[in-house]
Amino acid sequence: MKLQKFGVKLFLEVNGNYSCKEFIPVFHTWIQDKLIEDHLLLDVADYSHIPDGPGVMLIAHEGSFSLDQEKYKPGIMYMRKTKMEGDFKNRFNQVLSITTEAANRLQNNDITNDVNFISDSFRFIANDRLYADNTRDNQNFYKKEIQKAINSKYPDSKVEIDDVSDKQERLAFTIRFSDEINILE
Amino acid sequence: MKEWKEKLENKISSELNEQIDIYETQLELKRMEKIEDQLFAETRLRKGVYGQRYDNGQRHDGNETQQLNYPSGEFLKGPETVWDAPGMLRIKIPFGSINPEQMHVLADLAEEYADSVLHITTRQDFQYHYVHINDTPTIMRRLASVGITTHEACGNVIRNVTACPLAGVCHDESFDVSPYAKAMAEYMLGHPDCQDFGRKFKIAFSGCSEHACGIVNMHDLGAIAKTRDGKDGFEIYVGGGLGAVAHQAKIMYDFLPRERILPLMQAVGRVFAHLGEKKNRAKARVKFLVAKLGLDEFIRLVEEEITKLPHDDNWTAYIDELPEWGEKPKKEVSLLNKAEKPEGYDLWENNNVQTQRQIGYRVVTIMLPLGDLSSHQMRTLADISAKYVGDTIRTTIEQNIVLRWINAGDLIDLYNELKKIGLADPGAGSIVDITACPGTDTCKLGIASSRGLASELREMLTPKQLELDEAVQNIRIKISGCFNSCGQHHIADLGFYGNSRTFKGYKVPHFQVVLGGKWNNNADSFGMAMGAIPSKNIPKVVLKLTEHYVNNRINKKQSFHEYYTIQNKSDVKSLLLEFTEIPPYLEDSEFYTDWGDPRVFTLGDMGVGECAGEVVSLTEVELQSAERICFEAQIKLDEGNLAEAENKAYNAMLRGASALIRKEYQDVPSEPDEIVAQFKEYFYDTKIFFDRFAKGKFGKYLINRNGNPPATLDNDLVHRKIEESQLFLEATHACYARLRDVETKENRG
Repeated sequence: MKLQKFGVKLFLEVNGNYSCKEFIPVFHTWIQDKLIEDHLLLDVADYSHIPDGPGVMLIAHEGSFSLDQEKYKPGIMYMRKTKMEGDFKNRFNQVLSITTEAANRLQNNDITNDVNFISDSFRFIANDRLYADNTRDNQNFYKKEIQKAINSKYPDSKVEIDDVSDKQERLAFTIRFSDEINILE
Repeated sequence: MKEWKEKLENKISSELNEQIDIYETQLELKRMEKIEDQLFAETRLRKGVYGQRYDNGQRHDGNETQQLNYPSGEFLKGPETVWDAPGMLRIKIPFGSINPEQMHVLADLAEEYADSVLHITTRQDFQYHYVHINDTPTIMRRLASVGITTHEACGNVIRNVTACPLAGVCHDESFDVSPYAKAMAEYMLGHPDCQDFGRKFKIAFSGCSEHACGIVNMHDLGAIAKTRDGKDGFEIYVGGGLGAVAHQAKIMYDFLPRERILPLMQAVGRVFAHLGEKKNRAKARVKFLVAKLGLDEFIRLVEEEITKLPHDDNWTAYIDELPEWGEKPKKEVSLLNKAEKPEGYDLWENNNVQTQRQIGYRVVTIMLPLGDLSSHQMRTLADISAKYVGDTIRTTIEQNIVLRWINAGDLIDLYNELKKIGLADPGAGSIVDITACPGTDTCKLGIASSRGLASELREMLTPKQLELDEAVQNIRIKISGCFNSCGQHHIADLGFYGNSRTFKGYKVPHFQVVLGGKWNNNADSFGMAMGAIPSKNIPKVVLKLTEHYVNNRINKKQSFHEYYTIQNKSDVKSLLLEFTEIPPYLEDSEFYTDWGDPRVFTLGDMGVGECAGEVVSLTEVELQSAERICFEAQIKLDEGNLAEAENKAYNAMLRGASALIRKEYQDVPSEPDEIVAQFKEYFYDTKIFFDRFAKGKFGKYLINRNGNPPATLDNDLVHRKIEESQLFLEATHACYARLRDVETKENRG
């Protein structure tokens, strides 16, 4: 499977008192301290003025982190751009780990204490319409692949997959664990 | 699986396919190092593939300069431009016309190859940022599949042809200029006579002379629709431009029959390519050629060239199709919707909706903060557009989108749908609809954060919007990150351009306040700099200047522009004085950072306690004095004393040069010739004065003035001389700051 460009988004708790602008200095600190392993961190982009947009972004050569606001559902999204080694299961689990690591860093920051992510679900977003166009076949295919990848990381876990994106959007869906899995741990 | 190239082959015109194939080959040759950096840079620029800030592989992170070690190593895509560094891609949208299918593709590509944001420029283009050069051929193919090109979006070529976004539906236009703008864009794209310019060339069309939609006066070639004796034609302007020193365009023809506009542009292109400056970029725009030759001689040469041109059927082929030209509404006019108006609707309708010439239809402006919208917004907007208007969508030079041919009965439903995706903000064309260039966010030339300031002003003014005086609500604010005017600060009621000042060893972001610019009447007057203010004080300056205007205007009919045009400049300067003060770093370090960027504003190694003491150097005192003299020049110009104004502008440069000489040498001569000779020897010839991008351009202003004082003076010329003087002083400040940096480094070492 050739898909390399895809991402994972973790949603913020609905009651979070949260302004993405507060994280501009946080992301600058990540750059200063080179906090994300295997990433060349480049710059911070402020799109907080777009209510239905990517919020504040930390741009890296390998991928971008955004405090995404799409459809007014805020969260942290990591979108991979460059090629990773290994099969899809391996690549997917790497992207999930990078995202959860970023989420943990945001939760543990010392600027605001109001950031909490929903820990029993995440959204998968394929960002390549050549290899993962948003067709019914591809949706089913990637649902299965993601389940396989999840099972390798969380054996015997039960998941539900819903909120599949509209056909004009990128292929995306939300994965919810029905048992007590905490992906942030 | 088929790659995009194969998948889209049949959807792309053979011409575009060939262009992109050639570009892809050039990329491959560059990878094999068979094209030199400079040549490749111009090649990619002509395809809209631009550099972006930090693409030299370095970035100051607030503490130190980090080397950005990209996987491509030292492999370059242009001089000092690292291959792997993300760049900008500019996408041409002739006269701003787009359709829903194109909007979908634009949205998809922003997600897949950029940062999910589409930015509309002041030339009705779109830009993507953070794009990898390896992705650019694919992006071009996918754009080409829906009839969009990036070809000649940058580089020394004819840039996007712009036109009024209301063309065809406007009450005041002589006729719809859209098909002429389209014909011009298509005919000149890749035209062999326009491939050898020394600089870019910008063309605009306007439907009338009263309004600003086309801002013809600031273009290299501008055309205003006119009808004479029942025939359609254009009033033609040439030699306008903003840039560092703004030039008002001159009337070339008061009426040119419509069938002559394409051969005219072809001939202008040939004259410009043949006689325009090629070596000195700073003097290479056509405005300098017109000024050098004189308008009459320029026209004579163009007309002579026209007689030599072999006839081309394409000059007029589009005219035969004009009877079929025109937009058809998607929906029939229906009765007004009697549904209850949602909260906020009335304000939105009042600000963002205009009536069309065609009864029952409306134009809706979607105000985009900072010209940005997300992929998700764009995609949904495409569907909304398809539902209500079909293909009649335009981008604007104010970085917005307009939907034309909205049935008035659909307005409430449209408002509700736009609101769901955050695109129903009221305030289009008002004080909160601020134009800003990319500035330090992504531009390599940016000095201060134009977008950061625009965002801050917008946040400050939006809640106050309704409380503001009506005349203040309607003023235009435009912001550039440097003197290059991409934010069009010269033509705003209230303009700002970024610069920096050194204060007790620290660099402090500043903005020059520019007053007196005019947006209406196709931008027929340009503003003047009133003084540099620390960036963090600009919001207070906006409040002060607007409040002062409201309290002191003659009557409610006197506009902000009119009020400040006739004000005594010294009084305006006094108004601003309190905002020039900078608190010490330890008292308020916020002043030493820019809007939206917590990093200390510096080029490098500056820190607490490293200033050269609390003593203000004599150089700084002299630079202040030079700025004062330059300001006095503006006052003399206002008084109509052209000779003294010009002389003061020159003396300000001399004082600035003296200040620099004093920085390095104890003895400073007093005679102008000697000052200039020493400046040239110590700072110009050694290139110490040179800016990384502008090189010696600003130093030349002094040297040229010393060697060739103007024989005759007119208002425009003196206006430009004062601007040159101001820019020379900005460069002097920058040079001084660099010298201080070197000292600091040496002291540390």
